[in-house]
Amino acid sequence: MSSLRVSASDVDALRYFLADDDAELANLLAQLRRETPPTEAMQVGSALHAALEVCEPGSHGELSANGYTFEFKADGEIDLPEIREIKATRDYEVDGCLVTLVGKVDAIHGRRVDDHKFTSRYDAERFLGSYQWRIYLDVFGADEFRWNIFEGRPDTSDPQRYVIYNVHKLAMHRYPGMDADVRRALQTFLDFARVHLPERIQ
Amino acid sequence: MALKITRAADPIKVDRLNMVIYGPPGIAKTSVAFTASAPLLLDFDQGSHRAANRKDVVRVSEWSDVASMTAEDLAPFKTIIVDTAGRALDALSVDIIRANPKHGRGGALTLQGFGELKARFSAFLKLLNSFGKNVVLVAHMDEQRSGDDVIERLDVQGGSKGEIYKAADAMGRIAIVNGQRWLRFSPTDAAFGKNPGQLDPLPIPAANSPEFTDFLAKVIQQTKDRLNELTEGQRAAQAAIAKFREMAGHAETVDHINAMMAAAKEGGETFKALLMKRAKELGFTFDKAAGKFVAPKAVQAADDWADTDTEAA
Repeated sequence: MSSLRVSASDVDALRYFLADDDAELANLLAQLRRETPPTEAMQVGSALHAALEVCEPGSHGELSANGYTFEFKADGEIDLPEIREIKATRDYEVDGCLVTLVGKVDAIHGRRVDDHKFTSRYDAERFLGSYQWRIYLDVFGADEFRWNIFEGRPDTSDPQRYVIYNVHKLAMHRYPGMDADVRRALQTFLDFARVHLPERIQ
Repeated sequence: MALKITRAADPIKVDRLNMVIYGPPGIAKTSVAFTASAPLLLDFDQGSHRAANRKDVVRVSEWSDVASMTAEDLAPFKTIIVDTAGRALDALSVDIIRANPKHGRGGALTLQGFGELKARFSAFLKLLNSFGKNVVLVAHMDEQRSGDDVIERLDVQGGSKGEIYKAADAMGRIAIVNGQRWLRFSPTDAAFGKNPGQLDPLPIPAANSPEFTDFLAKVIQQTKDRLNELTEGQRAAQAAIAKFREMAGHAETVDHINAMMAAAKEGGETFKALLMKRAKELGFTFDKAAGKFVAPKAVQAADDWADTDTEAA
């Protein structure tokens, strides 16, 4: 049987491409082939994740990691599970192919999984409409998915410094038929990969 | 200004709920909302007279009509209906600009004004929740194009929509299919929804049937019951994970790790991931062919010595 390894962000990247009339196929393929260097936003997001991975309970005016500093200019509160940065895989048999779905959550507490996001603009519908939360709930066998969303912008005086001006908590839950939706999304990705990314199929 | 980080705690018993009901105009959203338990409808939309099963109503012409509501005022009611959430936010916007003209420009809110709108609306919902009330937010539906698809979503102004998505514990939409009204909570690729109650699509009973009288009251109760079941499951799952994590933390040799594999498989992906993480910390790798973890040769020799030493002891 052939096999394919795919991440939640791969699945969402394809979905956004299909929904955007102006999106370029070449850009999507470069992204899926990991040929594009990480953007500034991705590096900032990684730095915030790194800071939160080791963050202890308490009140924090600033957090720092990977050369970036995040200054909080709004009051926010999040409850952080002790178990953080957990990677898991789950195998699905899709149309004669063993599809391994890879998920990495930022924290896990029983049947709740958490994901931290750094964004310049909080757009709830973009989060709710994604497949990331469905996939993570399915892979980890969890019931609740929670985003801790940090809305911020660069500090004009220092490019390595970011100001967080809002912290949002947004949650979604497992629903009947979610696993079928995940399988359908994997089928769409597999169909696409067979044509455009044959090298990904072993 | 600071980020306060607390330890994750298990959820507490759910005894009140924020539910969003949305749908196109004229589909009986208000009538359905009136079937909640002991409802009081805050009529921002001035449309409650159209509901055949109309109950207690406060006709709201400006935000100050609701701003000073007290627990005593609301004591006879179990559910507060905000009809519609969009109009409520419009009324709040007017109030914000009236109080501080710098928060408005050309009748619309400035960025700071929007910040105030989000904070005050969120505080209003929290106030109602603090009185122990269920809150039903009624909203009109908007359609957004996404490629060839149309996505159904809340018709609520700008950034404040994000606050409603955050505040909503459950979110359902009403649609008519072959003449039958349905209330659906599960999200789809073409519609937003939140279904923590894991409810299948619910046919809405005919308005003149006895089943209609307390239709939404039952839906809210089912959702609460399911959430409380999940709370119990959550507690048990967290306890099992914490115990397994502690055991994995004590594992020092490759044999210890391999001995935990059966329990990890039984526990599911989180358990497997925890074991894998511990194995990596110890420098062990998984040998697919052998179906077990193996240590680098130097570590293996040390493990063998440790096992011998243990047996001898």
